[in-house]
Amino acid sequence: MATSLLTRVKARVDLHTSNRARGLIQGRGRSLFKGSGEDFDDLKYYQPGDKISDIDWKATARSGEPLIRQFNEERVRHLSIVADTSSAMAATAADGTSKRDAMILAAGMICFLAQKNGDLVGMVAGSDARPIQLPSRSSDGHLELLLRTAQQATTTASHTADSSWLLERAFRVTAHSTLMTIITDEAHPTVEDFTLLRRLTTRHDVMVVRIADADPLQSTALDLDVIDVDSPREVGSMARTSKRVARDVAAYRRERRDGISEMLDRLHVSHVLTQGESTVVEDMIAMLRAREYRHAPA
Amino acid sequence: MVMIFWWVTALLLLAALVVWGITFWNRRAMRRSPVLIANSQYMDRIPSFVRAQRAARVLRVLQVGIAVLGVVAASVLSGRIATERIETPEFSSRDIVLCLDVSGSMYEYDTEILSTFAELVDTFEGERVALSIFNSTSRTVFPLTNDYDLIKRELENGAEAIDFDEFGYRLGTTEYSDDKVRQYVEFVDGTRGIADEASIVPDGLASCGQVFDQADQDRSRSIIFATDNEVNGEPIFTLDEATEAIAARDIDLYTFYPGAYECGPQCFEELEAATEDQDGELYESSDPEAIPSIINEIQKTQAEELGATPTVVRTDHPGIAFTLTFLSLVAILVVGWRAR
Repeated sequence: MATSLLTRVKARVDLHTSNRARGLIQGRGRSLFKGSGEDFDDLKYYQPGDKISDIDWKATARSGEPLIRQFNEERVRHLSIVADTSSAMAATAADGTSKRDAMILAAGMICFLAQKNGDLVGMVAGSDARPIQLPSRSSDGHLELLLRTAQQATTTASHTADSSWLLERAFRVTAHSTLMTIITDEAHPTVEDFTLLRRLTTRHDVMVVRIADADPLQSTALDLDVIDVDSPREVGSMARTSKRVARDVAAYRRERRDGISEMLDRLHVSHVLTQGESTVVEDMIAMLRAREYRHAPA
Repeated sequence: MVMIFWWVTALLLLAALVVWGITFWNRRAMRRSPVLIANSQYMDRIPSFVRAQRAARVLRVLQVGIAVLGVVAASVLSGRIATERIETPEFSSRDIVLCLDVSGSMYEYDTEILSTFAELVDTFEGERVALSIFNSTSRTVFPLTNDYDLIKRELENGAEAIDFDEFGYRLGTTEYSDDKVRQYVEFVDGTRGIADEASIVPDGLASCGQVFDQADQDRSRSIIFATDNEVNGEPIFTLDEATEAIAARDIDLYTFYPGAYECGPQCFEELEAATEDQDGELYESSDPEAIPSIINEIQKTQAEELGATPTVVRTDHPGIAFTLTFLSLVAILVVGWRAR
């Protein structure tokens, strides 16, 4: 058995994260995850075994007894991952890496942050025929299982992408209000999912990580065939090298991408479009930072 | 049409099929793992993409078609398509002199001989033909030649001109147009050099023997001699002398005797004896329609005498297959370059 996915993700995050960003994540991560849970409940007397960092120094000074801040159960935040495990996610990302690896890295980063804070992470994935649902847990084993499940569910033989079913499912099965990270690709969620997404945002704090697709023409790698995972048709080199086709295809993709981005912006959903495994960590950190500023007073 | 090396064609086509089969079964194995992409269904809605795909498909079909055509054409070319002809090559060194008595009694037979020969000219390959006519004197209508256009033209003209019933015309029982009369007169012009004499057969035959040239060459020489042997006048040669002179020059004599006109059986007997003494052949028929078969007979006899065993002559016809092969190669290059 290779190293656990979570370990690998941690290594990648450490590798990619500057000191400043690391500090941002490690400072209990709170700043990154504003919005949910963390209701201050009460002060209680310090008991051996409590965290020193939880001591409320001002209250201690006032009362003369060490007091610690106690949070109610809501302090434990719920995170959820909505993973698109369709066959499309088993394809190649824009940077030439696997979209699945990028997705695992994105999900792994959520798990990594959750692990730091002891947050609970659940997952919704799969398809109508094979729904996947993992309950909210915080153990390392659970996080590892979550990542492995997502990884193994995403193969070229998987179902075709159906973002509306996935969003509907995520809404129905996620009872708690969560910080929901939807991980999908550049073509999803489609603009037709606007209503579903809006309904999700009423209950959850939604983030969308979109992984860009590889150029379907691959005009620089003509010796390799280009196969669409869902419609295995042969694309002739004539079409692949045509400047006109390349322009039209690029125009269509840009329009689709911009349409989805505009929809997400309108819903005030944080979203990021990343090129693949090589950029997903930076892009997610940038997105989380932007969220922080979003909540900062103007 | 036959294929000389049909088995080469078969082998090449088989090899092409085998190569195709091998590449067909291994077509996936030869490729490297493809680039998997997703969400590209929209491409089918992009007109320029659909056009390019269609063009590529047409080009591919074209390529396959041309390749198949090229392989087939090359195989056929290797198979050497040829026509077979049974030929007796010795005939090409044959000289034939038509030696015709154009006295009034012979006109129907002369016509038939000339028109039969005019038809035979089409089958000649290198044979030389001459036409000599005689009555009281002799005229060479055309000397030995293999200019078949000329031979055919002259024979046809002669056949038409000689079809003239002179006695009937003189007696007024047969009428001819002025043109016809002039044509006849022009044709037989020079054969009446001696007044009051007609059908000087031995002299006519002797002068036919003079028509042969190239005496130093080993050629087959023959005279087709048509006469009723009714001599009216004083010949210089006797018939025997004439036939001997001919035989001395290795000339084969084929005599055609149409039957008695005025003379009795002694004319026929004299002719028969003179001919057969010199190993000539004599044919007798009073029916002009029999002449084509007699001439065929003469041809056959001559073929046997020449020992001309018929050989199969094959002529290759590489033109079409070669052009197709060449064009398909050019097309493969052009299309292949276009499809890149």
